[in-house]
Amino acid sequence: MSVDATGAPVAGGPLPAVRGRAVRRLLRDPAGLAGLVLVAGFTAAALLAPVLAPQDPAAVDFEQVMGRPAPSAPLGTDELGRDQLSRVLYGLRSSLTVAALAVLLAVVVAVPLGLLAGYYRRWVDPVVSRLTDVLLAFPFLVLAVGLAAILGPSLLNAAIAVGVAQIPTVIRVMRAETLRLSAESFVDGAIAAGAGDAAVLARHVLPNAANALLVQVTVGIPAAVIGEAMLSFLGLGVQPPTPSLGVMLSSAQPFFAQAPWLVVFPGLVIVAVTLAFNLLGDALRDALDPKGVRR
Amino acid sequence: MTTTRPSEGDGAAAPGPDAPVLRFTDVSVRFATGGGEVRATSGITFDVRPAEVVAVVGESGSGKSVSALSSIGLLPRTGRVDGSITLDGRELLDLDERRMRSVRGNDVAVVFQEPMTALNPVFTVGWQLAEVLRRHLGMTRPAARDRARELLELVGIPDARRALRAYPHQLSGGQRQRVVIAMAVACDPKVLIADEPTTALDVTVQAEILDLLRDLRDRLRTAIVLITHDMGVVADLADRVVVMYRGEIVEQGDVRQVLTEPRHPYTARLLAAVPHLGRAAGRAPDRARPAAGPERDGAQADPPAALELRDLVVEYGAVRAVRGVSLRVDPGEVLGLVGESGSGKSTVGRCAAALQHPTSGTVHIAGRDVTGLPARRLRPLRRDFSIVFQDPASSLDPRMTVGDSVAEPLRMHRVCRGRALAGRVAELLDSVALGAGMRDRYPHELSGGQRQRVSIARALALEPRLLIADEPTSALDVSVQAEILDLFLDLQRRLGFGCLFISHDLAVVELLADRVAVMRGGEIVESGPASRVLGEPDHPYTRALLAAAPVPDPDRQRARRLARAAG
Repeated sequence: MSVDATGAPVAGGPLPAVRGRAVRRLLRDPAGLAGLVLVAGFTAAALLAPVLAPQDPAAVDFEQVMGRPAPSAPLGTDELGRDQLSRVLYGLRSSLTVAALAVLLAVVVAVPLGLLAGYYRRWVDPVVSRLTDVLLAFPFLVLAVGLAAILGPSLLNAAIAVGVAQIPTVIRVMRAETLRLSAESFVDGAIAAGAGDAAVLARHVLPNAANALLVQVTVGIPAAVIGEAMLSFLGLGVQPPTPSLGVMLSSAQPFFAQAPWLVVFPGLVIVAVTLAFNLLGDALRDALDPKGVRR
Repeated sequence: MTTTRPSEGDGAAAPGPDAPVLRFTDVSVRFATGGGEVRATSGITFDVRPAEVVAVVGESGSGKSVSALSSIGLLPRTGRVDGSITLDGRELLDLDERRMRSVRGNDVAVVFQEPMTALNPVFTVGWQLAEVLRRHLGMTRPAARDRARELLELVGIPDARRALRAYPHQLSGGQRQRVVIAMAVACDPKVLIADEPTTALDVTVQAEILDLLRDLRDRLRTAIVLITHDMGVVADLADRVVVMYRGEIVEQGDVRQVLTEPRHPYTARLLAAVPHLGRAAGRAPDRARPAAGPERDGAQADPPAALELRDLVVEYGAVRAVRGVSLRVDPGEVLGLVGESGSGKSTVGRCAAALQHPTSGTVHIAGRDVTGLPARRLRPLRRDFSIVFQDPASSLDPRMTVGDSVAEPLRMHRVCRGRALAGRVAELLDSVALGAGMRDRYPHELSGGQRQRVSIARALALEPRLLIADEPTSALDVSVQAEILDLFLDLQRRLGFGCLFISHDLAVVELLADRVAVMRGGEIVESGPASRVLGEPDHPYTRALLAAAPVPDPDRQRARRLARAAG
């Protein structure tokens, strides 16, 4: 029960000390801890793929075509006898690369637009918001597929397609945060102190919106992983022989009946990565909530 | 629930008209938090008799709400209650959730502070009232409908038939609080717990709600536990007072004794901090006015007004919030702008701070016309004026340290940098009695009063000629408010800035202002020297405002109330 209205935590959210508390809260939440450990694990695995992979992921071995999981190849081998474990590791690497690039693109484009739309209500907002609405009118995947088809298949283009598809959501989040924050009296106070628009946005609005953005990024990554997988599955993303989780699913499709492990393992990794980031995102949202009521 | 209980029932169950209905014995409440258990209250012992109003007073965090709400199990799950709370001799702390639910509403009802959130916005008032009657008393639909109308009439809502069909947002704040009270008394409860029932309301509405509560107490013989921080409200309504400080009762007794001859030093301090309408000796005489009458005739000697508004009009769409306000703040003068919520006083303040463009009219600050200037041209002029906001929770950027917040205006206007800047910040913090150690703190580490000090230091950083203060103390506890007002007066005297002080609290304005302007419905209805406007008001609205503001003295308040009722 918050008895003290004046002493209550401020809506603007995270302050260094609060953030320290948020980290502690995150670690105490079992789902958050699990998410954090898994995300760290997957990221490390992707970064260290060249070290961890037992084989060259492109090394073809016709003696070992579609081998069952065995001590020599823990996750089996594919239709060209390539080591599935090595391919999953490298596939994870390219999938996460696409996801990171996509989210980076979305953030770089959407954050300024969202800030401007939320702050300049009269002219910028209607324009940006209508464009956002247009982009949102296309389902995420349809938009990504369409863009990828136009841009042509490649890892970078897949990242661009998935990133563009994420832009409207990030704009919405940033715009809403900016709207909320510009109504706070500290923004009026900054204006009264002589701050110009740029100073208000950069020093007061953006830092206070960082939390919402952080949560949005953690939720955006799994969506991008799935988007990449789908584009690659359709042949519009990463191109074989470069492995990616989507490429592996796609090339394993004809052999599903004979060698189910070829589909199961990459699929499981996609599920696990998505789950891990979503767990982390949800837990972050709770942990950063300044009202921080534990349920 | 673990209950360690002292010997029960000595006299508690004894029937009789004056036996206490609700009795708290050695009640303590603890909350489990991340860092272990926190004790919110301890050793709370008091009782409430039928038709008696017991006021539980204290500042924020004193545990006054927690104590009262523990009786009906309305604490968060992490709360643990020890001791004994009996209702007509029946122990409440042993009840399970189902039995407690029937106590709530039937025997003990609660009225909360914010009437809007206490009502469900998607149902009509009539439906919500009837729902309570049908659920708790098993009434049929038509019977509940009729009874709901009677209840609305009981709480003095005009045209009850129409009010039944209204949604909460269609009623005024005062009417909503009446509906909430109607709901609370629907089942004829023995005890009504009123948790700051008038804090969100204007003084004139507050007076009506207090009258209503008194009337219900007399007619229904309901015992009332009144939780409040306002000593005026206490003086107006309470029979007995329980004073809480840091989770404990420091004093309890008859209202006259506690308010006029407090025994505990804390009570005395609390009472001394309450601004007392009509008691401020008037501060004008001891101050030299820079722009007093005589010099006026020489045009060249006449310094420009710190603020001059002419025919200010502000429209929001079709709504006219401000309708032609003209006012003038002379250099070094404090003008108190008084009004109730919705009177347009804050909008006037925002226009004066050039945070908002008026629809028409002009704003001159320190002799310069700032009306409609583009932001770029306005920025250098902002050195001359600044603003302090009401809500200490949102007036400082939560991500900036205190030092950075105070330094911001100096940085923005490139006044100084580096070592000189640090020195100036330290000086400013010192001037508002904050140590240099505060510089690296963040706003959430500060109390409300400390935050307002920081806001004041920041507003004065550029030594402005005009300060606009928009209800700077109304979110603070009285003792903190007293400190901030003292500090403010002192700084104003030393620095001699002109000030537009916006407030709803006449007693605060009386303490500070040289002149007072009273706003209502977007217009200034009366203005003049503070002693004249507050002492011998001309306008009926000013008189009504003055009459409605309760004073923390039961006898005087009673006399004022009777005078108000008479005319």
